[in-house]
Amino acid sequence: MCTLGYFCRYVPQELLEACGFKAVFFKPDFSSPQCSSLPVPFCALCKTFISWALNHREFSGFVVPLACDASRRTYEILRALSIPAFSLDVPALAGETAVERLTENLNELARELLAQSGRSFLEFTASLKQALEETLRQQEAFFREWGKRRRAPDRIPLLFSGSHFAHVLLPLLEEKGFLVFPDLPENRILLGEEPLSLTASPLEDLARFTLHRLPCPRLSGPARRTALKRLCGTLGLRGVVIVFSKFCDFQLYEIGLLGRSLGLPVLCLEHDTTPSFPQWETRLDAFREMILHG
Amino acid sequence: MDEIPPALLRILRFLLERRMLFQLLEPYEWWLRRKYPNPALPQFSYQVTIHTIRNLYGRRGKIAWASLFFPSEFFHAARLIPFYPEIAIGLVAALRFVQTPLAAAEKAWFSQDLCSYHRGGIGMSLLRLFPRPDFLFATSSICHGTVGFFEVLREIWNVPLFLVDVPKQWTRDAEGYVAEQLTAIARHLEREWRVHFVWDKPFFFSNRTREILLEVEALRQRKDRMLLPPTKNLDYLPYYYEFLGEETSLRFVERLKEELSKPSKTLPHRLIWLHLKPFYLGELPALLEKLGLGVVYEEFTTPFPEELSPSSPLKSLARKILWASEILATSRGRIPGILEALKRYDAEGVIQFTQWGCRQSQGMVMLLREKLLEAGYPVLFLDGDHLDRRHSAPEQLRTRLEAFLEMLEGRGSS
Repeated sequence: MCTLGYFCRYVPQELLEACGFKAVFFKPDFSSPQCSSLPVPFCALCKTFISWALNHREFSGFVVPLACDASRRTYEILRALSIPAFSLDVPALAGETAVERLTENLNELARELLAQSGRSFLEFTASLKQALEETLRQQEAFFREWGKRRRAPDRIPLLFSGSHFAHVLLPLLEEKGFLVFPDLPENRILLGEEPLSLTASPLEDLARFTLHRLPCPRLSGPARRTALKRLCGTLGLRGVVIVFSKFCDFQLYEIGLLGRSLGLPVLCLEHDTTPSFPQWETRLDAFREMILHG
Repeated sequence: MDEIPPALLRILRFLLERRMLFQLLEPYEWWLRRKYPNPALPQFSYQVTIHTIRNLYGRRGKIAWASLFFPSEFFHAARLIPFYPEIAIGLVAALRFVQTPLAAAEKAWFSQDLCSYHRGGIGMSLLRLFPRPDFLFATSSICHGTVGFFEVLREIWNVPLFLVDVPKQWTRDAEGYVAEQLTAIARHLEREWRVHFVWDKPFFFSNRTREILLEVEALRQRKDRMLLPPTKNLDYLPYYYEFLGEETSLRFVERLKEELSKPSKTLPHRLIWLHLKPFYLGELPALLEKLGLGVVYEEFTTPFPEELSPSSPLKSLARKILWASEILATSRGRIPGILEALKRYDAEGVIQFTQWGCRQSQGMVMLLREKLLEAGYPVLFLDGDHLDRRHSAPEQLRTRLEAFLEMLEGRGSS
């Protein structure tokens, strides 16, 4: 089976698999090499993704969402380096017009991929429907697991925001006595919202599903901050840890916005893809003290 | 003048909030018009600045803040007063006052790594020194950081934000998508705010300005004239954006054309300037001039190649928004445009002053360098910040410009 690489959750794994590909999500850690031809003030994640793509030329291609300035450039750079790349333009707004737009874009991507794999559109649609049903089942399981997690009264519950590289810090946070609730798109269902029901049009379902999740920092509007505030209230969270790589504009704006709107202590851990564990340990200890003793 | 004491800031804020005070500028404007009935460009610009200050701080209408690529014709048609914070902060930097708002933004958790045009705008808003907006308008056109910037402005000012989501590829569907969003915004303004759009006049001024700008471009292609000091045209950005669609821009370009109508002093080297420039660094144009490095074209002052149509105004504006995104923010549109301009202006090379916090231009450096060198054009990327002086290294700048000059002269003699 042919393989496609991707690095952003806006790229739906369900679609790639329904098109007949094996989808591999790029999960870098602090030892991942970076493409050194790019200037310093450029997204570290994209630099490592380009480097990963260069080292995986055996893949059939890479799917890049045009979701931010850095990913837009990443797509162009991959093309310039003669690496097969497929793009997915993702609206910066939610709402019906954006759902329509995203449906069209998903359709376009699917047709491009189907042309590569040779799978029929009919087969693709049936496969996508099944994949979406499976995703909804997984969401329910996620919901149950989080329900169990909440029963740990001896730990300090906190919201953990941050995309790639952040998972590397999870063990450290647990070790320091925190009960971590990562800021995941699936969190939306924790807010008591009805899960989406599937219709006869799986592509539209997928678009709706993507834009209905807990908004990511790149989307315009106060929906993300409102949802996170509700989430903190619902789960009784006592602080926020934001892990971010330098030069990610969305997260840089998010820090200021969350700091203003959540009314909880916020700890920002910045990295340039080189780890600073001893320093982070000290800062987490201080943060814990701050939460416990004001 | 970098650090302003808090007491002085409070006084300044108090004065800026006294709208009646700014009405007093009216007799001064009248006197200026009488004294200079046919002003040259600097005096004309001065008068326009005074008039704009009176409009904005005197609150002579509803104020619409907009991101750089939201077409100003939209606001002039709605009789709103446009205010472009990304342009205004350049003026603040030129006045050497920008470190105070930058520090205010950083204190409120907005990192030094963010674009300083945006950080400065946030700082001026936190300090309440920019005129309070009634509405915010933005596009995700050339830079997605604008979305974050305007989200922050919405939080600070607590006013409605209208964002136009711009697809990353210019297609017929994309035009429909953008036009649909503009239509929804216009309808909302008409319904909720009783704004009435009249397109004929702003479109007439915009189209006429565009025609003259094309003539200005043709004049700048001639070898016996040049706009000096180099990069001066970037000081006139408000006429290319904020005032486009009103008489002010038309009068400006008429004067610009007049200035270029006869042969003038020229510099030995003809170059193209990409992106914007450090506005605090008054010595840069002087240094360029001293080294003989003339600028014959700037990508940010390129006029929209089409006439705006009053019969389908929002479709026209949608095309204008997509055009800007295409020619400035995609390598597919931008690089061929630069190569074509190099030929058209008979230019020898390219300089880009790459803004520290500008992800989209930083990310294109590698592609741009490769394609320009492949086509045989030398290119100089200067790193720094257009507003934040802490990222400036004047001596390094001089050394790099001198080395670039040597390279140009070496090519000329070989």
